[in-house]
Amino acid sequence: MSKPREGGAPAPSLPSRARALADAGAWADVSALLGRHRESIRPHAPTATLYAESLVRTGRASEARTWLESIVPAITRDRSSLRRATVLTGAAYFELGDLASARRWFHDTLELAREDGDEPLVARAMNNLGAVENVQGRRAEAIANYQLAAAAHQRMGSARGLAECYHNMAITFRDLSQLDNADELEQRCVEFARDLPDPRLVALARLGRAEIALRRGDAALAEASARRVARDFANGGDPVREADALRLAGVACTTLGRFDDARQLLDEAVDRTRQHGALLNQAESLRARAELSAAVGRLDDARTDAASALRLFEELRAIDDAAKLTRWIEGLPVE
Amino acid sequence: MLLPLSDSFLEIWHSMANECGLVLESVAAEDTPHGRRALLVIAAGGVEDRLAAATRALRERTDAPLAAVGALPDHRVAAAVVRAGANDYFALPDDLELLKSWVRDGAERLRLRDQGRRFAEGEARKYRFEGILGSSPALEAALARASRVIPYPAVTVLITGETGTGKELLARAIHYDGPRATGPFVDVNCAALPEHLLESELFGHEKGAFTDARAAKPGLFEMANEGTIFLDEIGHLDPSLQGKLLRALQERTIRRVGGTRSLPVDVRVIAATHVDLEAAVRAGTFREDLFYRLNVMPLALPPLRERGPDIIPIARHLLARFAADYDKPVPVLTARAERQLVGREWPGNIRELRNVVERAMILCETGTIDAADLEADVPARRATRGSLPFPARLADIVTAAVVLSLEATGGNKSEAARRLGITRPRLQRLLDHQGEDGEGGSDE
Repeated sequence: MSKPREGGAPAPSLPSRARALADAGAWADVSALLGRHRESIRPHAPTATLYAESLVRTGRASEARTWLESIVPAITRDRSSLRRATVLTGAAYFELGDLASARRWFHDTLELAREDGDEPLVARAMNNLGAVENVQGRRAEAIANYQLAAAAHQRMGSARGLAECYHNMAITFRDLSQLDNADELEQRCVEFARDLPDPRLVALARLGRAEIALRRGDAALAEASARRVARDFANGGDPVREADALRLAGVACTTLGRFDDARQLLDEAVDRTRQHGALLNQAESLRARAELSAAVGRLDDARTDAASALRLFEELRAIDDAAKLTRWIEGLPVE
Repeated sequence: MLLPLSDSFLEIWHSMANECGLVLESVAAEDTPHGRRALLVIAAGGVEDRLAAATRALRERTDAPLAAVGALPDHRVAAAVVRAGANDYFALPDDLELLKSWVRDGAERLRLRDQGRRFAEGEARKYRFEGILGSSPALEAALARASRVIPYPAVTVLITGETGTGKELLARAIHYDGPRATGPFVDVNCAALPEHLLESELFGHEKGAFTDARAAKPGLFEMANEGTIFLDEIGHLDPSLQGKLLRALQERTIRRVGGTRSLPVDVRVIAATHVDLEAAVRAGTFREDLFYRLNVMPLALPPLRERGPDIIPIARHLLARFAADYDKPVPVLTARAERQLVGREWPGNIRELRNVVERAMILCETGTIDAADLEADVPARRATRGSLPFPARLADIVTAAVVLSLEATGGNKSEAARRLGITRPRLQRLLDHQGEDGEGGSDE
């Protein structure tokens, strides 16, 4: 078998058309267009990699992984495509929940990016490694990677990279209950995101701060902040994140003993997440509503919502959440 | 920049430059390309025998990225032009996509260089030395001292002060007002990581240095090269790392974990701590030689309670800033509110003042902030100020104690558990279950 020619374009207009669609963010169209020419683009590294990216970005991680594993060994000279294909393989494994493989591929990405002086990819790989460590509960390792990613973004002067990295690091510090550090980092994220400007990232960081306020026990601040963020997400046309903010406001109202307000907010959050098929957010909203029902003595409602949330957590393989919720259900008083 | 040696491929250069957001400029063989903000392409379809000489001549006058392009897919041509100084050789039409990829990568690098410069300019505006608010004598003394160190990029600085007094802000002002402003400012929280991770984080590691070291990795010192490294919470540094930091400061070189080579680093070190390092030296937990090496230019930031006249101007400044951030009119502080602000102890210093003012702004619905708006009944926040909530639910007191211990130990769970007199697993259970660890709360 002859060695595939990495640089030769199979059909002159196809790569350009696909690239234009990708630049416009039309990833489903990229995937549909290139999917029709799978075999002809296979030896053409940049286009084959673009197809893989379209699969990852449209949630078809399993197909992306299979495709990437078939094209990566043939990419030898086109280092740019090789680097992109490598990080995409890591991303596909991450989406599929195979964290050990994701970690291995992100390490390979890091090595390639360093060899080639591709600083944005160095930063991205370290950020991804931080995310893997965080999901695996290795928080110190996650912070170590995020700190290196932040330094790389700082070297490049990437305000967006810094904002995203600080937000990720804040989540890890929040999980470690280091709330002052977490809040400080979310504030930095807000500053950079506002300068970009990226209202969505500002809102995400503010939602993070609302969560921190709630953990500090400042439910009044958490509620006001979360309601404001919900409006920002609504204005930005992001109903799923709006629902997440409503959920947090609802939890804050439960803490404050304003149960009617809490019920209204949580009903809305559950409906909204159900409507948009956001399973993790739906599970979290159902769990919050179960806790509200338990607080007001509606134990049957609490059990029903908790059971629905548990099914979703199990479906999503959110093992920690499922285990904690199981214990919570077992702890409900018997009527 | 394009140096055409023949008229082959002329039709592709304009569209390629356009696609990558570059301006196409043709140069003659005898021209000297100016600056480094360019990608050079020598195109020689049909006259590949002239490529190596043209490449060598151009390379002598510039170190910008350079690609040679011909029509012959011949290894000998490729080897000759690369030996002559080209970064790569592309044979068209087969390598057209590879060439586009090379140009795209190069364009991205040029864009990054511009981005880095703009970022540094923006940060310099944000962290202007004159932008530090306050006129109290204690602060002015610290700032006057700091301003003397700014022009000397190799001088190490030690900033001391309680938590929240603005140590990092001052470090950034020193960096961005000084000759290293266009270099990176890398900040490290020394308390955030356990010793074994921090060593590799600071100094990097070589491939195979430990089980997880799949590839060589530069550390933060290398990433801060030509800039500043800010070592926050230096008082938490483990003794074995103190020795390595001392060597880095003395010799201006670092050695990666598992490495044998000394790598030179050109970095200004600014260290900060809220710990009394002299006391730590006396107690034997901090090396005396490192202390003296760090203490070249000590800067002590005063706590907010010693900056009475600064409190209201800072509060008003923050109110105006948050009003803009949250798109609200600037609220008025009542006289009672001002008295309350001035009369408080502020153990969390400016960070605490900022949080209190921001909270009041978010909750404010009347356009006026009164004394009551500056209060918050927050168990965990009170805990971080050094006291536990009481009276309160037992679970709240326990949560606050855990949070307080974690903050005090920089997140070190083992140490926090030791200070609380419980096991690490029990501390984890208390964290997971918000102050409740099940019946009996056994430590075993």
